[in-house]
Amino acid sequence: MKILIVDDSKAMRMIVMRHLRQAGFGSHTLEEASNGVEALAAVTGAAPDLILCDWNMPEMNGLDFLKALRGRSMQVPFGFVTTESSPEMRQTAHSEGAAFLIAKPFTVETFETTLAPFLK
Amino acid sequence: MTIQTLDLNAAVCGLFTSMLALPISVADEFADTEVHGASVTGVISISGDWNGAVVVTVPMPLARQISAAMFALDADALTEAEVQDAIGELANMVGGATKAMLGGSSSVSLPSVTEGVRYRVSIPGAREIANARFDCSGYPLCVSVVQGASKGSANAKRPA
Repeated sequence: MKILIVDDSKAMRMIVMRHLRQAGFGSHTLEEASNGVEALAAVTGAAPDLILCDWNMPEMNGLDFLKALRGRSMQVPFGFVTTESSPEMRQTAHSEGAAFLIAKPFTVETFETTLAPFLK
Repeated sequence: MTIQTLDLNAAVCGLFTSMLALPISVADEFADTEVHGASVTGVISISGDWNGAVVVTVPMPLARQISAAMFALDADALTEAEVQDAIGELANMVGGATKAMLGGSSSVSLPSVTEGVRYRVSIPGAREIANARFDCSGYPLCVSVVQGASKGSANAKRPA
């Protein structure tokens, strides 16, 4: 399976990839994008099986990227990995079609339990 | 809306323990905002129901250790951009935790990062409402939460 990791911080993308490996998902193909514009281009050719996306990013933020995906009828499972974890933000994410929201800082255990249903 | 130092301490220590695997403990004394020696400062502005900023400052050797932990690279192999990226992300996570403590409806900015020798970070019109200092691998890590009357934007200034 292919996982697209979208975050403007390369450091955070590295941390997410490390947590994926430590959670037992290291055998999947991991791809990266640094904002919504890059991510949208990345999914145009071949849609990933799961998208892990930051919320606050330059160029196009995660919420706008999610809206753009759903606007193109792309129903790929999408989850936020973000510091934006207020109930209001979680409700917004859910109503726009996000399957989950993982708040930073996170743990390997959080990745295991949250992502297992999507990564068989 | 208030920030409790104990909550700030727990958030920062939890972050370092869960994501960076770096030893950290709360230090008793508070740091002056004047920074001596090569240091790196990450700033996140919060705007909305509450306006202000979260300022995280570390000496350069600790900045490189934190960056090495994030990138899983040797500290000597890191570029300047990677160190700035890592400290920006650190400020982002501390800022996000602070925003959660504040409650209400606010948004956080993208991080800004300043590095240099002997500089002061100031946000005009803002006052510090919380300050915490930590010992991380023998180096000080300082977190300052400042509240402003308007949307915070930080400027780094050299002392006159």
